[in-house]
Amino acid sequence: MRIRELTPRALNERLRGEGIGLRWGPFVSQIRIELPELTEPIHRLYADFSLCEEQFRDFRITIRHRGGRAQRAEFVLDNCYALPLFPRAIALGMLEWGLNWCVYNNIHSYLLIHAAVAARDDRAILLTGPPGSGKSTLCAALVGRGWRLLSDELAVIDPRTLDIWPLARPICLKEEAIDLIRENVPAAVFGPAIHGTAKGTIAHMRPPAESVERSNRPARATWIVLPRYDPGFRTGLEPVSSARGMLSLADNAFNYHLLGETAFDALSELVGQCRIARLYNSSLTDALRELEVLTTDAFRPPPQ
Amino acid sequence: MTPHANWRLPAGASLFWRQWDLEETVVFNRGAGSTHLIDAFSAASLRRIAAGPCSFGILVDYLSDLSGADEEQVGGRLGEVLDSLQQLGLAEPVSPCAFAS
Amino acid sequence: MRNPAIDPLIESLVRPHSMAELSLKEWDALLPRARATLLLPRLAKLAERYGLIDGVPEVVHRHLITGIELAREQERSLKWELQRLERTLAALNCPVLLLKGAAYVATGLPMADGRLVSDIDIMIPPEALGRAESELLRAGWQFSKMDDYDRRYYLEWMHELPPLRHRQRQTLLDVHHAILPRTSRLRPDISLLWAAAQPLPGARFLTLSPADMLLHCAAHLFQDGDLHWRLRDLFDLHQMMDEFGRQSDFWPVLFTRAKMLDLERPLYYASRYCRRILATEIPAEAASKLERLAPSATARMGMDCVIPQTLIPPEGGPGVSSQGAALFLYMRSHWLRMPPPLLAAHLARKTFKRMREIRQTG
Repeated sequence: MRIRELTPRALNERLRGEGIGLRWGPFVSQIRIELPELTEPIHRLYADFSLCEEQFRDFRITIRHRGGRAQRAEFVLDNCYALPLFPRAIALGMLEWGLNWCVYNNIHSYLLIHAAVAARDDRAILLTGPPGSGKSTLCAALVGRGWRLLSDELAVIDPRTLDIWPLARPICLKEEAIDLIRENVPAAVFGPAIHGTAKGTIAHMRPPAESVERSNRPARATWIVLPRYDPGFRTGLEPVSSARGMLSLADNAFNYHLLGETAFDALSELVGQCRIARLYNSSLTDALRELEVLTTDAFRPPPQ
Repeated sequence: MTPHANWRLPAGASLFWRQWDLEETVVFNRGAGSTHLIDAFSAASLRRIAAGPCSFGILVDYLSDLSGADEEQVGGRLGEVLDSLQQLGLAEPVSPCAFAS
Repeated sequence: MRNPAIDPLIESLVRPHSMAELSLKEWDALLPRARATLLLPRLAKLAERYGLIDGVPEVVHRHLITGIELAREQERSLKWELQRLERTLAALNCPVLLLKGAAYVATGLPMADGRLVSDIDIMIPPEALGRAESELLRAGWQFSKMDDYDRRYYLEWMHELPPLRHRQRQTLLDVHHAILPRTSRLRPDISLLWAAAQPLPGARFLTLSPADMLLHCAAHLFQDGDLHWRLRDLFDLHQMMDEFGRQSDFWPVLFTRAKMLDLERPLYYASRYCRRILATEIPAEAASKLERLAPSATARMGMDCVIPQTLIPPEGGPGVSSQGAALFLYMRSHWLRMPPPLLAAHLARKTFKRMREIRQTG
């Protein structure tokens, strides 16, 4: 049963009761939420996700109210680990951030890279770079143009096969990017604006139904792009060597160091199968045009 | 650093190399769990050290033979490179009368 | 057919083959408890040793692999660190004793397999502390900023160095000159420990003798330790009794040492709870001698009521037993290196603080 098939009221009851079983890509989590105001946004943003009842869950999550006049809430994993208290008003943002946190703190069977990932015909583009580089914005725009969403933040890579597994969860956009994407992707459905997070105001874009449906299909890394946004830049792609591409990915990985030789082997193999470029850009439209050129070029293997 | 010191890989270091072009080499030190991007000169120095402990003098000779550059130039650059390699845990000096490990 | 009264977490530790029989539901309950007690890597290594990993359900597999990877990286990190320390401390020309986790890993004891070691503990003669400090600082170790002020206090009054962290590698190091804090009620005679210390083949470190190692672990757990969910320490003791017990004179030596070091009480509790909780096999003669070390019946009953519950997270799931008591905040794994840009973004909110400090024995 999809979440959209439940009434918001029924969803609310489940969330406050035993919780819902949610599958997102390879992972299953049981999610209980004691804050009724989160029910409607979840109903909207997770509309196309299926409820599941699994005996084994990777993560058991509770978001609960921690009362007092300060109106704070808490994200708890396995009834045991909790993130520090946060203002109740940003709970939806913390749910999304927290689900990713569960993965990169607890799963090291995959190489995990901080990157936005989208795919066309199962060929994936990884957008990686520091906060503010525009990767989620670009990712959202690509998805708006029909690319399949894998993730706005977390590339989940099997180190042996190099398959990238989707999570296909809502895309988190911040500040100006929200309006920019509303303009750029008129059909996009958004969750509420959340003010006062560490990134300022954020809002989440619902993943397209098709991305959610295909979240059991991996993709193969084909392009690695390091976006650099600045209003003063002239838009253009600059090739990046495999060596530097590899180190850039390693720098942006959550568990590269932990996985040691496995990660070294995996990443060196991965960059060998990709075209890697830095994308200087000052406008979304220009950036998209460059990416279109990059990804529809007759595929040439990178220079040896 | 004395010119008579021998340079070698640190105990426990175990190196893996990847090279896609001549200028840049990525080396992984499995002992330290660390990954480094190094230039051609540093890579050549490190490969020689990995092949067996050697003195500064031997390295200079080796590198100037390899590159065709004169020994003074090589010597000047090598000092810095060895310092960096030491910082990165990729090489270390052993003075001739240090403890044997 | 498994007995439902047996705790699967305990069972998996002492009879690893039982993991092959666990249902998905049982794994679902077991893994969070294993994580909460920092035992996931150890369970995973046991599963690996007995060839069970490939047989578990696929959805469980990734969690065991995670445990294996954590174990592997920890071992690598520790071994590298010991090699660097050996070089740094060579100039001191004094004996250096490895304690706890570092000692187990260096000697390849079963307790080492899958251990999560948060810091390295070494012991040196008190007169070497000053020189040790200079060598370590020279090699890139540093005291945390807030301890600069307390540094003199540590050296003069506590006679030990405040905790050190390596600037580059971020490893933590504790340099002791005694095995229990000065505030401890028990004061084992350090010279006895040194006298019985054993050299490590192929390295310049020493380790405690097997009997002393066990007593040290017991002392830390039962005398001055915080017992909350410290099942892993009890499991260490269990593995030590099992491993060392193979030497024919181990138990007699253990009793003698316990008396000499004034550690008979911790030894009593260690054996009692190992037997009761982990079904550790103790030779009959030793078992009756242990009974003579028991405290009063009331004291024992009191401990029996508290210790098992405290050591082991509840079976229904770790649970929140009381406000702030059982719930502890995620403690950063120093081996999980997040890249600097991420650190700024995600950790600006300080994603971890300790509501309840987990003092790892290492």
